[in-house]
Amino acid sequence: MKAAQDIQSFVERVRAHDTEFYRDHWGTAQAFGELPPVSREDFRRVPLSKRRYKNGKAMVKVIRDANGPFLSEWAADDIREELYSVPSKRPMVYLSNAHESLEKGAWCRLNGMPSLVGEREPEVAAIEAERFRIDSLITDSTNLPKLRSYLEGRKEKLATISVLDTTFDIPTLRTFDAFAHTVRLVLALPEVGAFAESTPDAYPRFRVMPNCIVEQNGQALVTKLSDLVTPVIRYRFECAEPLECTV
Amino acid sequence: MNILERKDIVEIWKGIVAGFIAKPPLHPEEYEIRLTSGTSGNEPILIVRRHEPLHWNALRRVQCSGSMGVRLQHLLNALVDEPDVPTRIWALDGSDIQEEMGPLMEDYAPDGIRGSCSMILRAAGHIPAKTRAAVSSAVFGGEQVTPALRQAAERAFPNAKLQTVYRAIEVGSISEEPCGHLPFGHNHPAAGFGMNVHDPDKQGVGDILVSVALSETTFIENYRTGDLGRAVTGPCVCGKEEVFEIVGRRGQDYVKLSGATLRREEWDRVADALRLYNDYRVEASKVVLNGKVQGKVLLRIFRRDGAGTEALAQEIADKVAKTAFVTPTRTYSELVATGLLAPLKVEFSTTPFLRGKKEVKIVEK
Ligand SMILES: [Zn+2]
Repeated sequence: MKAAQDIQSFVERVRAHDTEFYRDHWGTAQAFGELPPVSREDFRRVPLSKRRYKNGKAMVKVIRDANGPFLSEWAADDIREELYSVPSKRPMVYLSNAHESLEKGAWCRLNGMPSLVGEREPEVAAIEAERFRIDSLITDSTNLPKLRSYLEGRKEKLATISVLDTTFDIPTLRTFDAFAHTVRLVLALPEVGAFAESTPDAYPRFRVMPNCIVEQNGQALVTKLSDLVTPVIRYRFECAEPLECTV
Repeated sequence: MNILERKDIVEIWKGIVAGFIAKPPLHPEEYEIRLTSGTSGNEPILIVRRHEPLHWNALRRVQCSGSMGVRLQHLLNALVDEPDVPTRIWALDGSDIQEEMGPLMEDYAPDGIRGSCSMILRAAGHIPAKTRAAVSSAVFGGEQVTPALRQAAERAFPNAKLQTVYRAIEVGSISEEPCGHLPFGHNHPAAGFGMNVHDPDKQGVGDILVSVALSETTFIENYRTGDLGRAVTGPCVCGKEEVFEIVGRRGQDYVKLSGATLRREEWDRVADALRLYNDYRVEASKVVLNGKVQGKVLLRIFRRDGAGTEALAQEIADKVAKTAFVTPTRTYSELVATGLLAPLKVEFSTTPFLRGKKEVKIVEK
């Protein structure tokens, strides 16, 4: 974990910024551990233009749940720094949400890899995967099973399958062990990015990613010590089961 | 002249892809991979193309395209090209286009919108008027912009300069980014593209043939894109000599219409299966109804037994709509139920249809 003074100076930098979102939210609270948590509702309530902490090349995504939509903006430099997957020669991105898929396609490009984002229809995505002879897959719990018959037809294992999600059905994911040398479970949220990872064997023990802090005292909070367009500081996230996060 | 057809470049692309896999280039990240759609009854083609930069001065872009590959290309244009320009992009997904998008668009405040005209107009129906009025550039590509669509776009984006671009996924951007001086629908060929209008008719309209390098080592000559166009004479104010205009897709293959694809072979199949008429012509058009684009199809039929009653026309329309597939899995009537298409209309023709050099059975009006 980062030294406490690094965390505090990050908090002070965000507090001193022209954008008032966090300053208003925090009020007089000073120490990192005392800052009021922020949630999706706060992101939804405040327009993107009022929680934008930097300008520059960026993509805008729509994030939608049962309570409605909000925008999340990601700078190219911040997308590059994420640990969505590991380097490979010919990755394919196939996520159930189009915005998430495109962002991970850009992640490949920004990390020295060719970019292929599978089209929505599984039959089409399978043709793409087969013809490009992909060697790794960036997907989620919803879309991975759609490629099962493609994976069954492959002669050799993929190097990696990275499953980006917030809940992981381990018995189902286990059935994909045979198709890849490594299956990575990546705890990620569209507005936060990736912040912890595990494997089906290690689950529910997650290793927290560098520059991320996960707190679990009754509620699960994540912090990213990065200057994101909308920084993520003590952001509340839902977890189906208690995760054991280690640094 | 040796004309390359789609089936010829299928093989060429297979070779390029095999080469990429066997011996990756020094900078593989500069390559984007995508599949062309196979909707025209052709085999889809996997394309491995080097990133094409885009010089478009919109800073807050909205991209409207159904294809993930096309969206990714524009996303990378915004994130990678011209490193010092703070370009933002929102690549719209079909699921974004709903009532609740309005306030988000107002917050995002786009200055440029680009992509398929139908999808742009669908989106426009949920963008507040003030936000639409602030859009200064609208660029259409990917489908023919009919006069009705253009008028609707002019109303939707009253202060935008409306322009078109022309590209075919299997060969890339055939037109240059609009120079700003040409009339709507006219374009300059992009650098590196040779263009020819093959076998023109009296109006100068013929098949568009292009010659271009598909990769560092593969050059194709006289590829028939499947679109009809004409060469426009006279140099442009910008100084470029070559100008062309696309007038439509070769009608005998297919017409794309509001989420539906009208394929000649499918309408032939239906005619054979039902045996209710001896010959037919399909006229497709797009109409704008309450801000929504709807596809409209008129089936004109000829019966050697003579024309029939209004009731018979309706009966035939019902049978054809239930039989004809307009997507890989859905029939005409199913798309009527979703509101994408207007009910099929059938009209009797009292005289047989003329058969021209290119027997066109499906046309877009
Ligand atoms: Zn010009």
